[in-house]
Amino acid sequence: MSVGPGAFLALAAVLFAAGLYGAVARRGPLAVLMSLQMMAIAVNLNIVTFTRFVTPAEQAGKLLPVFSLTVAVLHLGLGVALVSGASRRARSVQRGSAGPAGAGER
Amino acid sequence: MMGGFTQFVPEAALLVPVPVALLLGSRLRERWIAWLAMISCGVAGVSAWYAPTMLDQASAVTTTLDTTAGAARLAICVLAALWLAWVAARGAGAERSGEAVGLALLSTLGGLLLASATDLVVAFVAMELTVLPAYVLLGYSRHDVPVLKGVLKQMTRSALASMIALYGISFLYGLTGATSFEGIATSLPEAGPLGATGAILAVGGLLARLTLLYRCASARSGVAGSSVFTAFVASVPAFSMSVFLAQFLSQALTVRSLQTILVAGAVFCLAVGLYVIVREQEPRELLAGAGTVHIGFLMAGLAVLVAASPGSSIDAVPVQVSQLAVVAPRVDALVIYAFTYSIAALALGLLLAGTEGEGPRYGRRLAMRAAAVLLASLAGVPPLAGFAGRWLLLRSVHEAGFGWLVATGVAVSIVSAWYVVRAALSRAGSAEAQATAEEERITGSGPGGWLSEDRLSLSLAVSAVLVGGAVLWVFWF
Repeated sequence: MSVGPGAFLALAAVLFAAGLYGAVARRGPLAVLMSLQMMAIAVNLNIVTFTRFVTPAEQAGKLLPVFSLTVAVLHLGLGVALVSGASRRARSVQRGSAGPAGAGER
Repeated sequence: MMGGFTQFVPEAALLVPVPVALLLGSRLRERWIAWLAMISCGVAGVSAWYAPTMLDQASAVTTTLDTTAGAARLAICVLAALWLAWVAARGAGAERSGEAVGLALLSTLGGLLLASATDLVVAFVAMELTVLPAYVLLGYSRHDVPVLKGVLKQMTRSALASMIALYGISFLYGLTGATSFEGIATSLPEAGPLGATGAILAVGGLLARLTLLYRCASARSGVAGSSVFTAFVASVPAFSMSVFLAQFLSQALTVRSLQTILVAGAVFCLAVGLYVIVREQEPRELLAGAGTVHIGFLMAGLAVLVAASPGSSIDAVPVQVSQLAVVAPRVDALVIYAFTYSIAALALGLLLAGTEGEGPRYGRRLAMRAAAVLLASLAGVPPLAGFAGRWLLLRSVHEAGFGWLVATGVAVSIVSAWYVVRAALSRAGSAEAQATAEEERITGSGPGGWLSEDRLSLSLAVSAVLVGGAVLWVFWF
């Protein structure tokens, strides 16, 4: 039994919808970032499916998932950096200190 | 072979100071780095303007350097150079500002690539290159928890919009088998409703991303504590994305229903922006309202770029060469409009940055009057730059047969201009402004130096008038 492109596209659509719901409905930043990663995986599944079944000779189909994943990881990295920066700063404020020398003074 | 490399001279010029800024940013004085970056921006601008004459177009597969793209690239360099001139003269007011200059250069580099992209892969990478450093810049500015949370919120929304656009792009690629604008335009009519849906998702995601860049200028976004960086974000990356959207819609997408959606979106944004302007008095909120109105005008300009005849079908139609010739002047009008808005928004953002964190110094007389002139330009008051750009844009919308949309735009412009001028005048007559004027009279005229606040304010306001006059002169006569 072979699985056609429709099944992969449907799976990608379900993943994308689940990720979209998570990104819109969840309030925690890490949950939102994970939902965004799920959307990125759905997009990549779409592209790989099209490349495999529709345009196997197209080079762009091999490049696009690489760039897409890289960008998704960049979003994740920037998001985690901002979350950790905010939580570190919040902790230092709670302790009653001004944090690292000069930080937040401007 | 050399032609292909010549095309990237501006990008190479921008890359030169980046290692210096990123590696030595904490050791060198930020102003020296900013001066170096500004010089490289100047070199990049000149080479961007002359690159089309040196380029063998046949070697350019994923980018184009036609007159519009060349002018847009020059405009991006001008905007970045103005921002860097401010940082060189007055500092960015943040820790490790040298590194911030490096990030701004990377964002500008992405903007240059984005403005000339004719391939979705290049455009996607360039868009991320221009937007991601912009959000890093916003997070750079402060260590306040609310600001960091605000940047995180805006960044995740931007990433969400990026994923929606990419999902649409994946359908465009899969159903047309191409990522180049030309290939998509050729094959999209055969892609059926799914291809049209992909186009709508792609444009919707890109427009949402562009809107979020302007949204950063609003105090309610949580990131407006750093006007120097918000001014950059609302000018260079936003202008680059506007140019890319204009090129993308005019060259690749011929979906009839997209035009209807864009017109509806334009009316919605005009209404929301007007509502904000009518309700608010603060300059930063007025700037945010003007940004929303600007998105409405942009969507109206983008709607008339869709090279399709009116109809109710969701399917794409085959693109005609004659249609491309018709929309080319409309692309120029939209790019000029976006530039006139961006330069006024940049100037106003920098002017607000000059008074940030120092209490009610917005009341400083000349700065206040200059801010009023710039706000009036953003609202489209003649003969300022904003009016010139808006006039060109509405003329192209009228030529496309959307007379009622032009009437709506004119009405929104008149009402918003009235409220903006009224807000500026009420601030000028306030007790706070008079107290500040009295304080100035006693203590002197504010910070000194060759770029004092008075000189800066005057030059910004005069440039808004001069740019408007120049555009009107060129296109009217």
